[in-house]
Amino acid sequence: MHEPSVGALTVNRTPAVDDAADVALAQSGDGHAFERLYRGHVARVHSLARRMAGPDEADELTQDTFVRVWEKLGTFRGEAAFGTWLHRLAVNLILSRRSRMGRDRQRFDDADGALDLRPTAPARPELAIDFETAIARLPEGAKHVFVLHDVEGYRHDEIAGQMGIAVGTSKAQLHRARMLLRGHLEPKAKERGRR
Amino acid sequence: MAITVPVLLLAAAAWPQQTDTTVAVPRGARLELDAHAGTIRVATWERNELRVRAEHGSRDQVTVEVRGSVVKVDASRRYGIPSFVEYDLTVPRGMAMELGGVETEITVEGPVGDITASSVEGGISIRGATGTVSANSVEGDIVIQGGTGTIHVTGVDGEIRVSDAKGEVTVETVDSDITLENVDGTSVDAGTVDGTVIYRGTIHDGGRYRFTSHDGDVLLEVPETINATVTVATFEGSFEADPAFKVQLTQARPGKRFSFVLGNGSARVELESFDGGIRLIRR
Amino acid sequence: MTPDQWTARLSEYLDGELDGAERQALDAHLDKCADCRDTLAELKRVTLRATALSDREPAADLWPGIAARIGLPAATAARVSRLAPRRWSFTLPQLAAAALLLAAVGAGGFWALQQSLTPTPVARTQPETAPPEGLARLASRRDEVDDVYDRAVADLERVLAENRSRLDTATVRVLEESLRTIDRALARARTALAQDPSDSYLNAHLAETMRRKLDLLRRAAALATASS
Repeated sequence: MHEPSVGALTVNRTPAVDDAADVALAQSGDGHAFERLYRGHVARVHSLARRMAGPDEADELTQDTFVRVWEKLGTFRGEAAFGTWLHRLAVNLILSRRSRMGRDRQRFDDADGALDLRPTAPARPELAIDFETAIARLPEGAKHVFVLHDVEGYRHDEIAGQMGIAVGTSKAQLHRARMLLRGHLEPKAKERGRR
Repeated sequence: MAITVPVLLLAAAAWPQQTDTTVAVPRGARLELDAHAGTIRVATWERNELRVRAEHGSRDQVTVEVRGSVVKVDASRRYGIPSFVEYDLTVPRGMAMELGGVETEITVEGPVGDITASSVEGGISIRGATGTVSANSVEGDIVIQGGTGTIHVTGVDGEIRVSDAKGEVTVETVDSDITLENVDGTSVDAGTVDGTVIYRGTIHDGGRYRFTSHDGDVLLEVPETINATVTVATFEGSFEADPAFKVQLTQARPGKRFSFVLGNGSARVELESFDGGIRLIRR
Repeated sequence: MTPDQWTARLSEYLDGELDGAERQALDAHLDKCADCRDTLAELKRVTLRATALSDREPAADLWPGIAARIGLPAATAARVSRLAPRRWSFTLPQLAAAALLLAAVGAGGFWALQQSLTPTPVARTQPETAPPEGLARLASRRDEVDDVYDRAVADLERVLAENRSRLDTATVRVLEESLRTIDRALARARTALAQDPSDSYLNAHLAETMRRKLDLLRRAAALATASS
C-alpha cells in the first residue's frame, strides 16, 4: 500500500490470510478450496468493482472476475501474493469492460458538473454526501485513477500502463479527483489551518 | 511504519509454458480447433505440415492429433475449463478449418481454404481466404478481406466489414453497422436491425442484391451506369438518389414501396429500411 | 508561478514525486501561502480517508453463479466445453415449424412474393401494388405463423432464462440488448401493419424481423446450454 509521504498511518485493509494451501488445492481442481478463496477475497473485489464501475455492475464484474481467476489459476506461480495477483486480474477485467460499456453508452463525460466543485466542506452538513458516494460521482477517468492510486495503492506508472494513458495524465487525474473530493469528507473537528 | 508493495506491473502474469509441435498433414485435411478463451492466430506456408505454437498455463496440456483427415488441436486440464491459451498456427496453403471459442479473438491471414470461425466475445479477422468463409460472433467485430468464395457472416453486436470479396456475400447482424467495400459478387444480402448498411461495390448484370435495416440508413454507392431494377421499401424512412441516376418517380411522394429501372434493369436490387434514410450515391 | 500552478503541484508534493528543486520551491511557497497549506491538508485528509475505506461483501451471495459457470462441483466430469452455436443442434418441433413458415413468408418469401406480384413487363417506373388474392393467402398463413412462432419464442425464452447464469454476464447483456432492439423493431412493424394490413413490404418486414428474433433466441439458447 502506498503511503502518503506526509504523516504516517498504517491501515490494514484486508486480513492476512494464508492462501497458499488453498491456492495449491484449487489449482488441482478442488472446488471447496476455491470457494474458500472466494469467500476470503470477495469483499475486496466487490468493493473495487463497486467503486470503479458502480453498484449496478459490481455483482457481474465480481462474478466474471472469479471465473477468470479460475480459468487463469494455472498461470499463477506464487511470485506474488495470491490476493495481489487476483486483484490485478480484477482491475484488468474492470478496465476492459469500461471501454466496451463506454462505447455502448457513449458516456465519455469528463465534465465536472456531476460533482460540486466547492473547495470547502458544505456549510450544511445534512446535505453532505458520504465519501464513497462522492467517489462514485467523480468523472470516470479521475475516479478510476483515484480508486487505483489512493484506495488500492497502485503506482502511476502501473495505472498509466493499464489504462493506456500517460503518467502525466494519471497524475493530473489523481489531483483532480482529490481536489473534487475535498468537500465531501465527513465533517471533522477543527483540523483546518494546522499542518 | 510505511509498508511498500513489491513492484509489480499490472500486465498479465508471465506465461509459464510453451508448446511447439509440428505435424505432417495429409492432403485435404481439415483443422479443428476449439479454444475456450484466448487468441487464435493462423498463417499459411508452403509445406504440408501444421505447426502449433501455444502459450498456456502449466496445468493445461495442448495436444495435436491427426485422425484420418482431421487435425484436432485442443487444450485440456483434468478439472474445469482450461485457462487462456494463445495459439499461433501455421498451416498448409488451402487448408480447411473450423476455429471456435468463447472469449477468443481469431485472426487468420493467408490463403486458407474453407473456414468456419466462431466466437462469442472475441473479434474475428479473416484475410485472403480462398474457400468459403463462415464467420460468427456475438460481441466481436468481424472483418473479412479478400476472398473468392462465398462469405457468410453473422454477428449480433459487433461491427462487420467485408472488403475486396468476389463471391456471394451474406451478412446479418442485429445491433451494428455493416460495411461492404469493393465487393464484386453476383449475390449480396446484408441486413441489420439497428445499424447502417453501406455497399460500395459492383452491381453485376443479372445479379441479386438486398440491403436492409430497420432503424438505420441504407447507402448504395455505385456507378450511375448500372443496369438494375431497384425496389425501395420503407415505412417512415426517406429516399434520395443522386441526380446522375436520373430516377424518375411517378408519384411526387412515393408510397411505402416503389421501383424504378436503371439502364436495362438487369440486376435486382432491393433497398429497405423501416425508418432510416435510403440513399443512392454515385461513385 | 500563478496560484493555480502551485496548487496543481500539491498532489505530487504530497506523494513525494517532486524533484529537489521543485520541492524546495514549493516548500518555500507553502511557508508563505496559507491557502495552499489548507489545500494540502485537505488533500492529505482525502488520501487518508481513502486508505481507511472498508470493504463490503456483496448483498447477494455470488458463489452459486460462479460455481455454475466454472463447472463445479462435478470434478470428475469431462472438460466443460462451451462451443460456439454452430456445433450445437437445437431443435424444437415448434421452432422447426415456425422457421419453415417464416421462411416461406419472410426474406426468402419476399422474393417469391415479389415475383408473384410484379407484372412481367417492367415499365419505366411503377409503384408496387399487390393483387388481393396474394394477400388473402398471406393473411391466413400469418395467423398460423403467429401461433407457432409465439410458442417457439416462449420455449426458447424459457431455456435461456433457466441457463443464462452459465453465460458470461457481458454476453448476456449484449444478447438481451439485441433482443430488445429486435422487439422494438417488431412492435413498430406491428403498429405500422395494423394501420395498413395490406402492405406487402410491412408484412414481409415483420416476418423477417420475427425470423431474426427466433434466430437470435436460438443462438442464445444454444450458447447457454452448450455445456451439455
